[in-house]
Amino acid sequence: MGNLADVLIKLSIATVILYFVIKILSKGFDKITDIIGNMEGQTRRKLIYIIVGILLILPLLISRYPYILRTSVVAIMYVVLALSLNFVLGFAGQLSMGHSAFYGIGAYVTALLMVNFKISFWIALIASAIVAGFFGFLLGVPTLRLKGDYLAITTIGFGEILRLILVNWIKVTRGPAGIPGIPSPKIFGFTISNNIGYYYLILLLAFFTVFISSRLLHSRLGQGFIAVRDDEIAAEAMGINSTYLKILAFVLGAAIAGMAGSFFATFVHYVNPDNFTYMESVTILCMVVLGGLGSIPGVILGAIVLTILPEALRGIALYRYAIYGLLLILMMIIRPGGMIDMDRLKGGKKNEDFGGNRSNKVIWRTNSSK
Amino acid sequence: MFLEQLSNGIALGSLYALTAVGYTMVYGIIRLINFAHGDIYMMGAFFAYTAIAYFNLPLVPSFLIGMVCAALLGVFIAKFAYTPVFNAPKINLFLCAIGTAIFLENFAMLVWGPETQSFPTMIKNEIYTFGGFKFTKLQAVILITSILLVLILSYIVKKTKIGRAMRCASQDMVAARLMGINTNKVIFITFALGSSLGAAAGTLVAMYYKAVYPMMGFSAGLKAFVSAVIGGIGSITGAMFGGLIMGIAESLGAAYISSGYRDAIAFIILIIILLFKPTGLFGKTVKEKV
Amino acid sequence: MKNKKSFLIITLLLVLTLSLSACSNGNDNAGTSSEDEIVIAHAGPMTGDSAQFGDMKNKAIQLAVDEVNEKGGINGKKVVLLTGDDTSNPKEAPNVAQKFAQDNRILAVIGHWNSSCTLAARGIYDAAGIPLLADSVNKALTDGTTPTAYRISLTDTAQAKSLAEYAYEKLGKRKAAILYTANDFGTGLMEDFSRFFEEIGGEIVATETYFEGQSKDFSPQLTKIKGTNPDLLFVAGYYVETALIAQQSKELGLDVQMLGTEGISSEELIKLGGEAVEGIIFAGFFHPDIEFPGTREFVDAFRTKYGKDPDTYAALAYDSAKLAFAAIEEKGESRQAIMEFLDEVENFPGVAGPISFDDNHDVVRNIVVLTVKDGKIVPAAEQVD
Repeated sequence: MGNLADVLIKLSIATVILYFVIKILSKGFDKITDIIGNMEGQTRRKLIYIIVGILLILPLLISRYPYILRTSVVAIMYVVLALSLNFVLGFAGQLSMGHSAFYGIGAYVTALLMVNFKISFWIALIASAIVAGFFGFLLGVPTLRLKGDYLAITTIGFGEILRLILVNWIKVTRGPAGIPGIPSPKIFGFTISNNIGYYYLILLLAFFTVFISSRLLHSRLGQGFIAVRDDEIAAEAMGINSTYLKILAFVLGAAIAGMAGSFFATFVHYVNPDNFTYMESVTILCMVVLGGLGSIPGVILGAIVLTILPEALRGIALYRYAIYGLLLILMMIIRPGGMIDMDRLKGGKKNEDFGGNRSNKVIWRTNSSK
Repeated sequence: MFLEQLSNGIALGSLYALTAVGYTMVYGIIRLINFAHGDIYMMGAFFAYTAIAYFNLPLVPSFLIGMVCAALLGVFIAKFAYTPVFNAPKINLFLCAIGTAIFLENFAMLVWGPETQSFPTMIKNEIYTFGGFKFTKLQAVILITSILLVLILSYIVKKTKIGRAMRCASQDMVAARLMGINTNKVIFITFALGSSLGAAAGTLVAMYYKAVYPMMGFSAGLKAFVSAVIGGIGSITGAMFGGLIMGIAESLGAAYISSGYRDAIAFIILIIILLFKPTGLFGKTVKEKV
Repeated sequence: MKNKKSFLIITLLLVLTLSLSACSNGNDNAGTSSEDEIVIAHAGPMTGDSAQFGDMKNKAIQLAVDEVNEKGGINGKKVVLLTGDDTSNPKEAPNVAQKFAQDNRILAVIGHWNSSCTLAARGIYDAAGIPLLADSVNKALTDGTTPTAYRISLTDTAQAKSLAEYAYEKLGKRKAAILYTANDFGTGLMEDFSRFFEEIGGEIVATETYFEGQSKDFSPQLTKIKGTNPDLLFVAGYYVETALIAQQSKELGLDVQMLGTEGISSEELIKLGGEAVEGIIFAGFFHPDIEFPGTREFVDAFRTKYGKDPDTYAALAYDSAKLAFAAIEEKGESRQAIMEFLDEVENFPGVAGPISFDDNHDVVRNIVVLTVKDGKIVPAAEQVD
């Protein structure tokens, strides 16, 4: 209690600094968004090649710094997780707050298969995707009737129930003690054991996720998603099967989160129910929204920033999460569309007016209208 | 054994109910799942604790100080964290609430320290038996305070001018504004009332368990949320019933099913109720506007 | 277009380098130290559900560091403590570990309080060859796969065995009910206690669980336990919940002997539990009144500095720091040297009793049986043999 004044002063300073940093960065994000938005197909492709190139040689450059390498692996894993939630939240507009459940299912399936049955990682990876996807289906079907806040609390409930099962079903999951000793994956008789190997493994998974995301976004199906998200009733009137699309979003998002979980299990060699709490779902949700709901580059950036930030803030240990909370609030106030706004990205400056307009709408508008 | 478990459940449920009422009020007006409500409840308990432990005030003034400070905090949060994003997509408001929750938890940890503080014993605990029911003096105090607070609240909402304005705003914010209602004022008063109720609940719970700690709002907030949804979000009677149902279900579930799945029972009831009545027990079905 | 492209590339590279420097920054700002400093690290929960325990440990280690610096440091060099917050989350623990592992100045790590965190992070410490002095109790920690890990507290198995035998033989209890916290600590103790207690002829009549940091209402579990008429209630958890359980069981009319773990030997137990914890019997590794060389000085110094009594974890953390300092002084400033010292050390004079490690790197010591009498934690009249 004695340090109240001290804490208040420090936090006020932090707020002011954060405010200006976000304001300044905001300009930078706008620039990037406009540049990417206005870019022609060819330049865009070239840019992607350059980024891919940098990502491919990155581990060789930073192999001297294992901490940075490890943080990079974790960051890319969160890119996969955030993109998988983006299917549900960004594309289909369903507020799912139990995403860590799918991540946990994937991790546990892999852990159990690899430890108990000595099954190869690759089969376990696919099994994890299938099982998680199945649970995504199970959750997706009954929740079709629910919208917005009710869906949010139901998905929270789903996540919590799953975590309690992991804790209480001691015979299978070993309960809170977790499953240690998960082996490293093997490829062509070669064991991936160092972080460089894991880096390429998760990068592969990230490329796969980005590929599916962007293919989907630009396909007929993807346009259907956007239509359902913006106005479900109008979309249905146009002949879009919104039920099918929503379930598909859940299944796809869950399956990819399951694969990320599978990777996590072999990466850390230890799974424990504490990894898959409600807070973990919230973290992934923040990544998606802070990055820019629905926009692929935005979500990627959001995941990277929100993974690196807590690590970078380690120096101020005790103030770390207080500042994290402040950042969330300020970001949402100053930059409601996220770092890279999808609408702005789509049309660049050309239809800025429309972009500004849409953000006044509510994402699950149908629920809140009376 | 069954009666005992039932009275355990009612005692627990009345605590949930009180938290849920504040939750449901804020929701009724601005349609915001206030994730920070649990943390305002925690801050309220800490304010009252500070008044007692540091300034040696008696219980009732401390209790009121906790409520007033929490009301101010609620208005402060509404002003600086929520109103700026009112016109943005709803998910932004949602994230602001989550950000506020994370911030408050860690703020309390910085100011009061991370450890559990013991809340001074202000009411000597005596046990009464009444029929098969067994209850303590503290439980009775909690129940009476809860009922009193909810009665005051109902009076404000139903009988006063500002209450009418609140009900108007909850029906249609835009129309209310057109009718000359100062909706900003309504929002702030709603937050003040909701937060002071939260603080009252927090202080009562802290007294009941003789403990205050920074993380106490987290699961309480979630439970209050579930109670409010079970009862039908926005309905004060619903929130009371929701809280009682939760408390009883948890106690009986922990006793007859498994204590490990205790928190799951609440969620399972929630999911079942929502599947059959998607707006909760007392919620009004809202027609979709096309 | 050309211009734009190059601009784009530059901005991208900028962002990349910025982000990279941001994560390496975390290293540098702690790195005010230079060649003539000795760095040890503490990893533990500084925020989150278990923050109070990490806080106590950090205070004790800081005390040890300050003391050694007042005497002029080790070999004329100042000692610096780095603290890493694992938020008691096994996902964060490896990040802390990796950060410490990369920092070549760090000679030893004290920590991870939570067993799950130690289990998640130990591989990284092992790969980097950093000695890890942990007080986590889970038996898997010293299963031989990570030879750099040393455990300064007893395993949950050893603790459960001592407690079961004490309850059966010294207290004469036959029907035990268990209420355990649903984490690795509680589950491990519950399983081992049940096994040993039944082996020597006792009976477990009820096993119930709760969640640490979240559960505050135990009346359903206690009412159920009351229905089974036990003569002993073993609470495998920490002090906050144990204090609440004691109060609530009195209110519910369940008046049996309570038995607790090493996790409740803290002054806070009495502050929170009041009269209800009177007479509770529990295990500990440390008590201010059970004096070893240095115990009195440590307790006095801790009280003067922080205004409260050290608990078991504080004492163990203090001993861990002292062990590391002695090792550096005697064997030299390297990670390897510290481990050599730990392997050889015999009866190192710790404030919680003499310390030696066995072949598994488990400490060799006995539990102290403590009880609460007249609002004070005191050693019980009868100790284990």
